[in-house]
Amino acid sequence: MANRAKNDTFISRIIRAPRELVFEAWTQPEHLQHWYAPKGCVVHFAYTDIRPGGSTLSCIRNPGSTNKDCWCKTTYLEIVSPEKIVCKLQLADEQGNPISSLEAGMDPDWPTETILTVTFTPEGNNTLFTLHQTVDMALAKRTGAYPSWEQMFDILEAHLQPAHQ
Amino acid sequence: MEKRRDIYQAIADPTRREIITLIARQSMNLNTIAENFDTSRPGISQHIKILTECGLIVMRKQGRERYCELKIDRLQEISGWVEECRKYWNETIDSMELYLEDLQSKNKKNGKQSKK
Repeated sequence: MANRAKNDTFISRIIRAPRELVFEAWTQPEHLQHWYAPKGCVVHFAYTDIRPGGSTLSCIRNPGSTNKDCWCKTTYLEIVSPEKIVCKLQLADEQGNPISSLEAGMDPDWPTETILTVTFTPEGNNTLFTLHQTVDMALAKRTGAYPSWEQMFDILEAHLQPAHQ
Repeated sequence: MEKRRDIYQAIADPTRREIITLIARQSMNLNTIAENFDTSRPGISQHIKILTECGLIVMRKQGRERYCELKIDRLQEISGWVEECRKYWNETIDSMELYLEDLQSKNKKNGKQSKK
């Protein structure tokens, strides 16, 4: 795992469903509209075109919060059925035009563009699911310094860890 | 034109990144830092000034010496939102699991076979 950037989001889970079904859940709008939002939020799709080069425009709403609706444009870079999806996520307005994090009502340091990779590996009747979200592009844009700043973090990490680790 | 002073500008310059890693291990005075670089001393002073304005370095007096101390926790700001992303996706995957379990139990009730 040494080559994975520490500042990326990485999640790995066993999902109790066969791989084909999990892949369908990610690639078919009639499935996506039922689940593609965190707890307590609802998702709405303005349009969906899920194929390599295609894009979807989705909106996450939190009915119980005063937060603005969060629009996200997803552009599919790679779809390998039923094992892998790579897509670019961009903060957007409701027409799907890219916007800055400030315009989206978020912290200005929030990355406006990230690359999301999800994979599906069969484990009997279950699926090993992994999710990887890069911040490379976001940080490169801000600092013009990718990847050298990561090496800096490697050195600094030791100083940030509690002594017992 | 307004001067931008934030954590990203602090680490945008290669010399400044080297200064940061140098004093991460121990606080140093300006002379000792400058000895580690080919850059002129005024050049290094300028970098230290920017790092101070970005809140990454605090100058501390010890006797007649002035030491540059790194505020390492400021660097954590850069990766703070990663935790939020993780939380967001974990909750979204929870939502997917619930949906898929629901879907599969419905299919069983209706006597449908899940695709093999």
